[in-house]
Amino acid sequence: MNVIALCDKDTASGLRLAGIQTVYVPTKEKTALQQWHEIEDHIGSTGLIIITEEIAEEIGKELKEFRLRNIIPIVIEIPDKHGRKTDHVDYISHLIKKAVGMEIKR
Amino acid sequence: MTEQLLEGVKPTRMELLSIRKKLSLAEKGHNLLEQKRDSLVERFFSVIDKRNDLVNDLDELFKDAFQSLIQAQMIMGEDQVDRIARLSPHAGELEFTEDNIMGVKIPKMDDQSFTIPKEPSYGMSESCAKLDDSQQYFRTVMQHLLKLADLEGGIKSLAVEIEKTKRRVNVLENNLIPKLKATQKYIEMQLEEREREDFFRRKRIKALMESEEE
Repeated sequence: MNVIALCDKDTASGLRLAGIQTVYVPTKEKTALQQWHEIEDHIGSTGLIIITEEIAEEIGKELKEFRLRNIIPIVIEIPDKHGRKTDHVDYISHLIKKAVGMEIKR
Repeated sequence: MTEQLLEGVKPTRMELLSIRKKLSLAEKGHNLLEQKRDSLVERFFSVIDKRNDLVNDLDELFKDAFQSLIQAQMIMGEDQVDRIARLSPHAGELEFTEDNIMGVKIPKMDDQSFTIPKEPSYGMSESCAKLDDSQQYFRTVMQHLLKLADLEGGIKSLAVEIEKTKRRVNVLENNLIPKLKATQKYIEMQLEEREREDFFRRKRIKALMESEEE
């Protein structure tokens, strides 16, 4: 199954250097959400979706539903060139908090 | 909270027996589920630790990777970097198999067909040393990302299962078992009351019969 990414232009260059050629980059004409729906259309052949935190926040609701419905593809969030966002709670930390009942410090 | 009884239970000896059976079963189930929950949580913690370490490493790596990428872009121009990046060979595909931990199905990644080469994918001319660095960094990042994805897939399945188990334990502990106990008590009391009534009635009849004989 394929590895694909949804990220900004610079991250896209980096990931392409590492050999990930299926990269979706949101533009003015095509927003992150539209790109996301396009990705959703062929999840059958996708094994891993790499997504930057910035965009993950933008399509938060859809992403959450998607993760509840599917085990594969796995979605992972990466920081972009500005580093980790301080106020963004990633999905896995959220899950941990829900399952254990408290937060576990990194 | 007042004790709730099971609905539609008649205070008979048969019901008492069946409720006793149900109660012992529920308690056994509760014990088992509690054990399952504890061992799942234990496992969960070890995976979380691994995952957090990996995320920390990854954050550092990303910082370096982006720095060298930006420097390469400064030297060669964004377009040129992007062009070279697009020409790098496709890394391949992933396969998934299923792993089973205490009845929880966990996706397990098989990245054998996912190859990350070591040599630069472009010529010496028209590129700079920073681009080499950045490609190396991003390749390392990719390897880490695959590991992370594997872990996070597991964490997700485990978390869902833990929640399910927790809910079941709670239902048994706070709802079903107290209800069964209350019902058992109710039936026992009813039966005892009936026995006392019976006993008294018999005594009374005996007394009446004796007085008639006299």
